[in-house]
Amino acid sequence: MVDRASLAAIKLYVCLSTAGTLLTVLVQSPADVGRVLTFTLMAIAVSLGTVDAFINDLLPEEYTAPFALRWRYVIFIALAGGQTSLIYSAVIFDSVNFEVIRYAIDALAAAGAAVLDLRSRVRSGELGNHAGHALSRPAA
Amino acid sequence: MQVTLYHVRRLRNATALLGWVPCLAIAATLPAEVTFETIPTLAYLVTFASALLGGLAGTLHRMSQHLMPGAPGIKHPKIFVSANMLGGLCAGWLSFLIGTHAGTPTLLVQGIVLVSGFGGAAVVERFVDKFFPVPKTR
Repeated sequence: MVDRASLAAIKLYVCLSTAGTLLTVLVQSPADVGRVLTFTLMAIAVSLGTVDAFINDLLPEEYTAPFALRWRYVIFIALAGGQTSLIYSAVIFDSVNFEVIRYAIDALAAAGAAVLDLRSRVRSGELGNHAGHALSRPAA
Repeated sequence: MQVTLYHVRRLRNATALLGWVPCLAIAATLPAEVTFETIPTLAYLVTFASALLGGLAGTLHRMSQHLMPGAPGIKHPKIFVSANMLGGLCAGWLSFLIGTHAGTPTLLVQGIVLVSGFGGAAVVERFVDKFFPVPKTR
């Protein structure tokens, strides 16, 4: 089972890497409606993901960000989706280079962090502790 | 054998499922649009991945909601995950086809695929609840 600190580290890496990608691509490319909207949404997802990783995972349990905690899986899959959107854009406009590999790695890391987080919460008993249900811990 | 409402519902569900077959057959005979022929195969693969991610977002979010303390839990995890992922995939692909046909900007199409994948998972989950109802104990 992956511990919370390792998960937080993966999440923070994904958020910081995506922020770097956004700054790089935003500066280099011309803006259109789709690009501005995608980047705005990704920037919001980066902010919320950073808040979730820092407050919900690293700080003591008395400090929580309920909104980020409730929507954390959507936030990190949105980050992964943003990366795949950039890959799609590169493929469509025939501008595939080695940066596409980094986008793919970041997308896999974001999706993996979301899946591992849910798995970790179920294994630790934070979620799914319902007696008699398929996804639950056995009764003590 | 006494015909009950249960049998009628099963027949209704089977008819609804089989109804897709002639629709797909008709769709296969339609001529392909030039727009879709210009899109590289790798782009289709990336769209497939985006649709999967949309379904995954819906699946994980709903799993976390169903597994919260006090929530009903998940009785059929494999069906739950399969239904959500399949729904997300189908909704994502449909959105991609519609968005590309309408000439929507590239990144906006991918965003729509992700959002549709998230929403499509919810639609299929409710649809599957009708086909795989939890039997009531007497």
